[in-house]
Amino acid sequence: MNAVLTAAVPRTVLLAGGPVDFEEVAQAFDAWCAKRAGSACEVAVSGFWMRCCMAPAEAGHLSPADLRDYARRQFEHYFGEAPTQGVEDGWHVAASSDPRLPLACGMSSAQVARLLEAARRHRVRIRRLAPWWVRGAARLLPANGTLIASEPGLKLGFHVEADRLQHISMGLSEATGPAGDDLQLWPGADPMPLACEVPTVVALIRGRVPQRSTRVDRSSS
Amino acid sequence: MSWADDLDLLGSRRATWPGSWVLLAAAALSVLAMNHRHDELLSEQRAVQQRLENVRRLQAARQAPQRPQASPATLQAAAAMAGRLSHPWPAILARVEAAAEGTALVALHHRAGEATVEIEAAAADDRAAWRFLQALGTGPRPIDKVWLVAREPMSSLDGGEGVHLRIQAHLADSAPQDGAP
Repeated sequence: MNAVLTAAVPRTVLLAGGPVDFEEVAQAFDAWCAKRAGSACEVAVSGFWMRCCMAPAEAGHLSPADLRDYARRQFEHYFGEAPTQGVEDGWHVAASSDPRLPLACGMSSAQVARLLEAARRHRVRIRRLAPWWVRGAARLLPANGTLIASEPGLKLGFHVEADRLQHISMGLSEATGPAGDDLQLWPGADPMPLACEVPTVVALIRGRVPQRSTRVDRSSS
Repeated sequence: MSWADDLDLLGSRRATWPGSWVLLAAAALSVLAMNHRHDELLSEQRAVQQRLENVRRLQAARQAPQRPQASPATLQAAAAMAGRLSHPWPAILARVEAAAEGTALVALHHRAGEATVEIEAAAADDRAAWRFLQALGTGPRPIDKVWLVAREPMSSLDGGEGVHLRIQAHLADSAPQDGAP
């Protein structure tokens, strides 16, 4: 029944980050899958687990394959996660094909495999695995200016000029607060469930945001 | 596809829902079943069309115009005609020619269904005419009777005199027709 209900519109689940071990997040996701066995879902991932980088301007225009290779080397250099036995490579990487936004994001292959295994156990089909901010950013990214995607403990900034992404910034922070045109999941630094399907958060993840800045109030999952 | 869709880690590794293979197999089986049923319906249609054609042919045959039934008189006449055609015409003509020595044959008439032959001849005189009549009437079959129907004097182109004869000869083995003497 869950498969039929979610065939057209899959569920959206957010995997939160913070000062926790990824295994706790994976177990929370496992529990979520158990409640919705057979469903189709899209998984939005915190910036704590989903890394992000962009190619420098001096690299020129890179193809998506070249950008993936570049990002993979960057992630391995800064975050470790060398290829392990039985895994094709240490990182699952996806890269933008838009030359104005040479962005790449990636997640540890071991972590991806953990999530897929939990989903498979409960016959849950993961249709999408992406950063939580990507759809909202696609709608709100200005031609000139800065877009901040903030979550408790982490802020990611996208700096755009002449309709081209110039650089991205990432900062760890204890507190969050409104700062101009920013996407904000939680006001303040309230904790959140590790795997949640909060309706307003889901709307933000799906990109249903007004053209102006959005502040989303936390609601119970 | 926007760049937001590009940043999907499972974009190129999306697992196929096992149920989709089941649906594909079910669809393939449905197509096979429909093809089979289609063939069956075509065969049935051809059989029905053949039966319809046979019925139409039968109806057309029944509605064909009937041949007219021959009346007894017609059949009798036909039989008589068949009998007339069996006359030995070479012998009849040879007999007439042999008897016409000294006499010129003008015409020979015969009506189908009659047992007489009408002969027109031109004789020099009555004596020659009498000899012609005797030769016709006293010879062997197929002519068994002759009688003079008409005798008329005639003048020839060179100024001579003659006799124009009309003679009827009855053919042997033929039933006398009505009106014959």
